[in-house]
Amino acid sequence: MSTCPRHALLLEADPLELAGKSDSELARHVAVCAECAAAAAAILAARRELDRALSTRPDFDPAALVTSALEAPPARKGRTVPRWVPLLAAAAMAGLLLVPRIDRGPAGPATSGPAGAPMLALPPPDVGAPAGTDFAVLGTDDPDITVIWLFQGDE
Amino acid sequence: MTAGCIDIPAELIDRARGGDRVALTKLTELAYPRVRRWALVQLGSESDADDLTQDVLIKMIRKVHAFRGDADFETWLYSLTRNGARDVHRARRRRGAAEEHPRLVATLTPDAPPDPDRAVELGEARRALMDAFARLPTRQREVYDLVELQGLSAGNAAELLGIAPVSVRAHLFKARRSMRAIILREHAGVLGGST
Repeated sequence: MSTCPRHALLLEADPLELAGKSDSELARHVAVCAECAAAAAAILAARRELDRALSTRPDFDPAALVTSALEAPPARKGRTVPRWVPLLAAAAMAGLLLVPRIDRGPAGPATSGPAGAPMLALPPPDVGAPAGTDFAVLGTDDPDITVIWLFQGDE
Repeated sequence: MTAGCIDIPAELIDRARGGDRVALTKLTELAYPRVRRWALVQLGSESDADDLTQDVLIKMIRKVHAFRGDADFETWLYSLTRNGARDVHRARRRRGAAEEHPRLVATLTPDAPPDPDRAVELGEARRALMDAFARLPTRQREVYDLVELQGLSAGNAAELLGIAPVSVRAHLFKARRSMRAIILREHAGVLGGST
């Protein structure tokens, strides 16, 4: 068990402090406390191991990669239209569907159901889409018709 | 080169921009270890890091002719890697893939230690440090790797990451503090049981 109160501070210390090579109080302490010096050495060694683990890499042939990069055609991207196009199209469609309703005004005739009958407020449809696909739910003039538009999601 | 990680002569970059294959090959060779390390730090998985490294280097080879000399080459390369890593993260989220922490721990702490003679001596401290490192948020891991492990200055790391030096220091502070907390909480024996 460690008895030194500064022991845990080593875990946050700068590498120079751990090596006792800075002017800080902790570095001076490490230079004189055998227990902390041993812990500091273990931490430095562990950092070197971490550095080595991150640096390890498989064999690599740069010439082959250059050849394949220059001679193979670039891969086609999945998205062929800019990402704002579906949103713009959805907004345009919603606008077209809303225009007749606005033009009619509050006194306009009912478009469905018996005259004078209140329109039924239906709950919104429960819509799901497969992964990678977005959707837009668009109301129409006709309460019996809702447009559900599926389009390719953000790649 | 100002960020200070890769020693790539400007003349080599110029030749590569002009389509010189020998220069392109040398440039790719020099860039490879750095890109792979960045990819591994950001993705945590060897196989994903290998795939991303290849994608980034292919992009570099195809686009180096358009690289503007007024920007730092390494910063440009880093941004290619980071953008690619972001796409991988998005794809993982869509697939509902597992968290990266277990993968990175497995990558960094293989069953067979690299040096069996030192395994006992280093075992617990190494495992604790790698576990804590793997649990850091990506940005803190990047900063810890660049500054603490590779020895870049806060200014050079900031240039590479495209953030302010003060942010680099803040991320480093948080990274050290988080790692200390993880080690004390979950690997208390690493410092002889101190708290």
